[in-house]
Amino acid sequence: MTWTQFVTVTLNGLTLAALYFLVAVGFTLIFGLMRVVNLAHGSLYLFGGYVGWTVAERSGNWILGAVTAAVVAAVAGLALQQALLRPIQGQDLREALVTIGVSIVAADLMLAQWGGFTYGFSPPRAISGGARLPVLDIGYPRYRLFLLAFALVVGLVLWLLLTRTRLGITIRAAIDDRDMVSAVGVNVQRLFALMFAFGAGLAGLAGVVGGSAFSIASGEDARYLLASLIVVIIGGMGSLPGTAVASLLVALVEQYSLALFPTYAAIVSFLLMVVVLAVRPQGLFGRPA
Amino acid sequence: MATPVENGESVAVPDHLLEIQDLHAYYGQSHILQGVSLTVGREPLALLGRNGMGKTTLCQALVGLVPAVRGSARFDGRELVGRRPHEIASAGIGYVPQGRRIFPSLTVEEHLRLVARRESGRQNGWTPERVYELFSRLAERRRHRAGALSGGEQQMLAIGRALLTNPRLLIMDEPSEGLAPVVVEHLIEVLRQLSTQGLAMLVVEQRLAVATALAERIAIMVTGRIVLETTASALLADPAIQQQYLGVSPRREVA
Ligand SMILES: Nc1ncnc2c1ncn2[C@@H]1O[C@H](COP(=O)(O)OP(=O)(O)OP(=O)(O)O)[C@@H](O)[C@H]1O
Ligand SMILES: [Mg+2]
Repeated sequence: MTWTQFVTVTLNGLTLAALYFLVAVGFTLIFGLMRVVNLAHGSLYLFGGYVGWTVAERSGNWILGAVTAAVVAAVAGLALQQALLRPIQGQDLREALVTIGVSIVAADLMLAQWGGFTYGFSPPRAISGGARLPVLDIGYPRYRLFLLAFALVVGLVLWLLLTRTRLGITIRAAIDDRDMVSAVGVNVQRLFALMFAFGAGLAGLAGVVGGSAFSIASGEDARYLLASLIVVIIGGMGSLPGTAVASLLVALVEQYSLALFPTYAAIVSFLLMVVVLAVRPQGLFGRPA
Repeated sequence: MATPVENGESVAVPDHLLEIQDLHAYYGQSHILQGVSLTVGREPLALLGRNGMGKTTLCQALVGLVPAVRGSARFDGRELVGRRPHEIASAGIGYVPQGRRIFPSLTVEEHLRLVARRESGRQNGWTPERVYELFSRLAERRRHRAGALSGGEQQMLAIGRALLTNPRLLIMDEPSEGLAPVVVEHLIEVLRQLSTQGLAMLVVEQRLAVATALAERIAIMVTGRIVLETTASALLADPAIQQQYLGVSPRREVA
């Protein structure tokens, strides 16, 4: 590998990690708080991407597309939680089956609506085009750098929210012990609804923000669901730092192995997962069950 | 023992603040509470019974944490059965669970902040400062993670957390479990003080000495039913009953 190649692969890994983080963070917080493995999380990502693309195309406004995607996905997530998951709350297997069912139906509906095409976005000029990196003296797409910065800001805001605000403290407490949180006067059902809407909205937003770095096409739902699952298993459920570190690990390992031994790249993230599970079954930042 | 003193802080407690009538609770197929009837008013009530008799189930049923409950439990005249835990908490019932169940990843301060001021507008309410005054040990540990506290400190935190909901009735499930005698003595002192200030109490206990130190009224539970209501002095004077229902050899350490 030349120096330029190495830097480019590293940057690709970092920006992919940024996207993994954006998608997985809602997934892990929902999992940690409600013990629901939302297997329709990838569908929310793809749905947000399609909706955002449609709105951005019609209006010519990428930002409007991104905001709409977040709102529409949040509403869809909330509807899924209230209508289908709440009646079977606490029954893990049924919850998993229902969300799988939703993801299959959603995949077909989206295929019917948007077809099997690949869609690309045109982000605002300020964040598109190429940039010449100082010091490293390497050209790199400006949008990808924006993606990295965006994920950093989201991560920082979430961290401040979870550690500094009462809502965040309540969420962390509920990840520890939901019943006791309700016994001190917190309406946990409202907390669940809020968290589900938030996680879904972030996934929808990631559909546009990530789709603009890569592209949007049917099949992406499964890909990002899988990435989220691996990130959560490696990072530990409900942990924000765990999600950040695991996203970095998974994406960097993926990109390096793609560059070094492309044939085996697909299994390397699974190997990573197997190693973590063998050493720390609760994930790097997870608490023992 | 605990007669309410008429100072500025004491509040009148009705004699039937909590009225439990024929309460049943189930875990799946198993019928755990089989018709419990009890009344808690101004005087603290201690509930005794051997392991697995349903004491914790009763506490959890009262605070809304057992889904399958039948019968009636009225708090200040309003039905609790069927209401959700956060509604019961804001109605004025504080819960100190068995095993303390503090939130391990939160600091002491965060625990108090989580609960404080949810009941805004209430006069004379509990604040984190008042909790720190009551348990100065917690003030020293403000920034420590609750998971790293000692058992006694965790118990103080669990009590402080419950107090911040401004309860009129405190339900405590084995508060002395696993604590050293000197810590238990301190707890008893604090709880007695709270009781004289007008806080009603239902205390589940396995230790006879602690139960009788906290309450003059005693109820005994056997397999989901209240089989005996008596007084602390009568129970202490009757080794046969102690042996029959509690399986204790008479006269262990008296706190
Ligand atoms: N979540 C549950 N699911 C099924 N059965 C349960 C559950 N919790 C308790 N039980 C059963 O209910 C019965 C009463 O338990 P409970 O915890 O109320 O007893 P306890 O009097 O508090 O005992 P201890 O003194 O050991 O705390 C026991 O037989 C127990 O096995
Ligand atoms: Mg118990």
